[in-house]
Amino acid sequence: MAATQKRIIYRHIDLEGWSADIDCYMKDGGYEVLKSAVARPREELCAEVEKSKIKGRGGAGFPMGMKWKFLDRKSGKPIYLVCNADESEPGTCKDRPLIYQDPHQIIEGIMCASYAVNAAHAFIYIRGEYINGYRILQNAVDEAKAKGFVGKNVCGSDYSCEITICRGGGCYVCGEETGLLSSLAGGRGYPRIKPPYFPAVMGLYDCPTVVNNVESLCWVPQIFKLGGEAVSKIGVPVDPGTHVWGVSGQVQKPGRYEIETGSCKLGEFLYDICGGPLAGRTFKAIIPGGSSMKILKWGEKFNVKRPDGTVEELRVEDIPMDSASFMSCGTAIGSCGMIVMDNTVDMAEALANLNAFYAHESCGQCTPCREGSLWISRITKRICDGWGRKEDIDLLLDIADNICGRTICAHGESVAWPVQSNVGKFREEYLSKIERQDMMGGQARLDNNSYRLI
Amino acid sequence: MDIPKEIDSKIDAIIAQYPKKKSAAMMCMHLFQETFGYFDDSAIRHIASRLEVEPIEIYGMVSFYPMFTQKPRGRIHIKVCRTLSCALAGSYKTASEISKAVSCPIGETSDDGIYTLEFVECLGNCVKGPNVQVNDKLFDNVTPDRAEKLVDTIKKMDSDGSLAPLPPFSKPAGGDFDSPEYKG
Amino acid sequence: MEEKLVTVNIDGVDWKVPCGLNVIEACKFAGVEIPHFCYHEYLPVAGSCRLCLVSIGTPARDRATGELIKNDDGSQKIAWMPKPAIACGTKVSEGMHVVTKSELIDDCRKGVLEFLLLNHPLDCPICDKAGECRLQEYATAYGRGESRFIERKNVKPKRREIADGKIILDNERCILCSRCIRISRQLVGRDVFGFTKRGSKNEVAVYPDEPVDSNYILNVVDNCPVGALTEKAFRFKMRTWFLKMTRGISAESSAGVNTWIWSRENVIYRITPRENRQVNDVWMSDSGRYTFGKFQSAERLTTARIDCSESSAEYALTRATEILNLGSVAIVASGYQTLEELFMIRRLADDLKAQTYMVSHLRGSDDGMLVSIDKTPNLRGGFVAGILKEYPKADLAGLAAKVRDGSVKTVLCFHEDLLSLGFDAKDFKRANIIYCGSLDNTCAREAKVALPLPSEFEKSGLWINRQWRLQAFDKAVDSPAGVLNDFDVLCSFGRTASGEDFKTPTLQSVRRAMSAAIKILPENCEVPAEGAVLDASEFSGVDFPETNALHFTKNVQQ
Repeated sequence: MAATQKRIIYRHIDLEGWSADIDCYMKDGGYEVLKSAVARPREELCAEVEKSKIKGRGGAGFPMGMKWKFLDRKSGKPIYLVCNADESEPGTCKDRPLIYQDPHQIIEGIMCASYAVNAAHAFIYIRGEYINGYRILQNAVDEAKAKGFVGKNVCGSDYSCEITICRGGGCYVCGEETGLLSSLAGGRGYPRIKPPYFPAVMGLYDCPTVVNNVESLCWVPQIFKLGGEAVSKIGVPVDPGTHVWGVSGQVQKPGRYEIETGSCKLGEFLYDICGGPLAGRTFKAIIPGGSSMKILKWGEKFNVKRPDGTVEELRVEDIPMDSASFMSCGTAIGSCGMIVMDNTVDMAEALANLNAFYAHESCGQCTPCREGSLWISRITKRICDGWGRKEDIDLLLDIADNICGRTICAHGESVAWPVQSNVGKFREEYLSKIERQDMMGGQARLDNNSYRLI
Repeated sequence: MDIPKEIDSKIDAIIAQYPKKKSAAMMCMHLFQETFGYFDDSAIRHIASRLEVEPIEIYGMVSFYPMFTQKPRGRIHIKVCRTLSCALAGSYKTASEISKAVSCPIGETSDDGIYTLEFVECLGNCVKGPNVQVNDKLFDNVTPDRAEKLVDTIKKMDSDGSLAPLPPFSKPAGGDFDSPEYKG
Repeated sequence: MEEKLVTVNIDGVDWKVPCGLNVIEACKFAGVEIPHFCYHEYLPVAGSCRLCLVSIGTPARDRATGELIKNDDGSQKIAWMPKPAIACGTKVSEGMHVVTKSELIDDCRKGVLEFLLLNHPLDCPICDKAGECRLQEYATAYGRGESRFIERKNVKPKRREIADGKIILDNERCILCSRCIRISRQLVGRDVFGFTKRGSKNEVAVYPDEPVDSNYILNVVDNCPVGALTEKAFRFKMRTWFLKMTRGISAESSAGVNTWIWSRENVIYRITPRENRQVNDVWMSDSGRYTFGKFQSAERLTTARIDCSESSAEYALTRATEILNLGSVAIVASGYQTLEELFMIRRLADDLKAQTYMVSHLRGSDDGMLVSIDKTPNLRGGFVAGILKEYPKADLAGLAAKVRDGSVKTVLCFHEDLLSLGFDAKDFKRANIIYCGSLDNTCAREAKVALPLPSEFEKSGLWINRQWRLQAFDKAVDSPAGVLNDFDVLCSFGRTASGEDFKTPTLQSVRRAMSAAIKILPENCEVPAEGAVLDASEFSGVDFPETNALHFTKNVQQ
């Protein structure tokens, strides 16, 4: 079966004649879900979200219903809802079209979610680089407010909630929920330690806070409309719904594609939808879910344990496109930003490029990430510059091990995973590169055929 | 720098949107960055006093977030995405082509003070790399062979005034920027 | 209030520890050291240095029923956290298991220390913190011992003078533990320090040209684990390992801040706070750190005088004793004297049938922290010793009047400067003024007899602070040559007065006698490390001027 798209969240994206204004959205039945939702009991709505089993689309894949359930509703403090539009993971760009082309879908999602969790105030934290996106969202919020969908007495109910939009300042770590909250509270985007700063209990201003990704919030009206049960039946049961994959790098047709989870395999996806590798080239490696996820080597095989206990050999191109399957192959779909690399790419250059990113984006709060990310970056840069040493390979892995799992936030893993997987799976390539450098020194880089990524 | 009175009413409007004053910091800083182009001591102190925080906190934020600067940038601020997706599409080459075309070294401001050319991290449009953001406008698919054309476009737009960033709190400029001339 | 205890297994041994402790404190309780930089007992948890990582497990429970799950051998199954956790940010709970010694934890510590040393200059030989640097200590105890780093180190600013010129900041040595930021927030009440820049370029900084104007900023130096923040006044004065530490009590005010006095060969180099969780936690004022200066200066009285010319101490003492025996004596005691001295003065006064006086030294105002309005350390000692019945006046106008009407013929004055307390030069002719003190003031220069006495750093004793807390301090340095001993002087006066012939008593014998005579004092005046709060109900009618401050509530017996 050839892989096909199924557009639910992206139903309006790049649609002929579609515009971001509220009339266009309302003509398509927009805000009807919100109108009916504010008349329903909150417990029922939260139960629907839980039933849907929809996982968060921000990267961690935590079930949204569970996140809402953990919310401390007894504290007596106001509850806040934050829409995380700080899409900064390299390779990930799925939220951008939603913000630019369909802002009212997001706003309806925010208002539905805010009503369901009884939020006192909702925020959108949008990355600073999306400057026009901010203007579009702000305009949309103003439009929605004028129509009574946002602000005082939402849709004529007794529920009131404002939406405030805050722009980031170019900081990857502010996409991490506690880092985002630090920034939103007016400070450096330092992630906070958990415990005690679980957002559901001690979030914004130390009040219970829900932080959901843009795409996750877009699912909320769908769940309210179709019912949790029905949504849970879309795609595979362990990871229901659709995923918007942003495919970049060396494929024929890079782009954003929404497909039902598990509806096709990685190979089908790459060939049928993305058009396969560039002419005359072959796939070499794939980063499945945003640059921090572990890399997959084309041609790799995995021994995957099936639920009945048997072990099945799975080729990389046969991995079904859902979160659990990628997980069983030692990686994750993260935020579905797929970066494809073909045989022209020098893996050390690719890794050095990412390491430079992670070193630049480390907030510098905790020791392993602050010092380790820069160290790793300098080593890989040095290897690319032609001065690698054989011991650097194990050193890189050891540094990564020393960072992984020992930091305040998941940035530590983001630094470590690419190194661990890339160096681990392409060790021979590193070795031969360094051996060549041993003979030629810095000259080795100058006559390297692959183009530079750092 | 001279901080005009109108700024204060804009700050008030931002503060009014947040349950706590300090939360207005990010948006106030964007307001200053877009109005004045950089932060100096008086700007930092002004924001700090309006938000009732210590100047070191605002200074800490200015130096933390790369979008805020302590030096004025050129009138045309070119940001080339260098992160993996764009790099795979050739952004390093693109940047050096642009650098040649506008005679401005990467990471610096040109001698005439018109251009600032910088590498930045992911601009969030990976599927259409290489991405180049000029002021508040995004240009995608700027492959190395199209770099020169981009520079022509920005020069033309600069001369007719359409390259200037919109002032703070403007209405949207209609989706991602795609200049017809540039698309060729 | 009974503390609730929980059982925690630390490295295989069960301990009962108070509920609410974090794992670092629980391990300290069990005698297990967990290295840490950013954690500080008196500050909010930051959790950023990552050196205190330990393995933590809790009793496994069935998710559905909540029942405890047993191992096959019947023992409790432990659910270990998948990743090591920070001990500073984890509170103990019943049945918790903590592993601090394992290959994984050793590896964690080695990793963090290696990371911290990457961009840290290895300039210990020229670093003033060497010898009391946590990084140096931990790197030796838990580190890898070698570096695998061959890249260039980051360069950061050096030798920046900050905090009104009191502190030198060396950013390259900073490990970004954020203690200074948290201390200034807590003690100064605002963010003096803050982080600037990002990632491994992160720096701790103060805002340029922003005055700090705080009397507590030097606490950041005490608590900086590395040589990033050093006190300008002490910097490069003396290597810390040459210095002897003596427990002291700050004489700055009635707060009774506990201190360490750092000296070498009878010279004091610095004073730092000593922990007392009932008095000053681990803090002290900046001003209290320099109280030793005046005793190491030209202001010091080191030679006895008779009629304004130098004399041998023995002769002056004899002369003073003779004068005292003439009768009509008034004694001016001082709030700087120890309780032992005040007790002996009380006895002396009884023997001499002398009136006793003290003066209050109220200056400035209470800062709500550790400097009170009363600038003497032991005014309450005057009450306990029986010298004072009501709060003393700020001057001695009453005594001066008695000198002028001739009813007082001799004034024995300890440490106070009578000329600034209502006496004029003529009064020094009208009566015999005997001055006993450690400082050379106008009173010492005009007095009939002047006797040099030790400063508070040169003797051991007891003081009672504003909480009515009896606290002991020790002799840190010897007195300069020529200075008499307090007890010698008092006994010399008293021996003659009482007609008895006894030797100078020891500190212990005075304390024994004192505790026998004054019922609110503990037996033999033995006080625990945190001091002993006295029952001051008999003085409840006295209105003391101190207002609420750290660990002090006015009119509430602590």
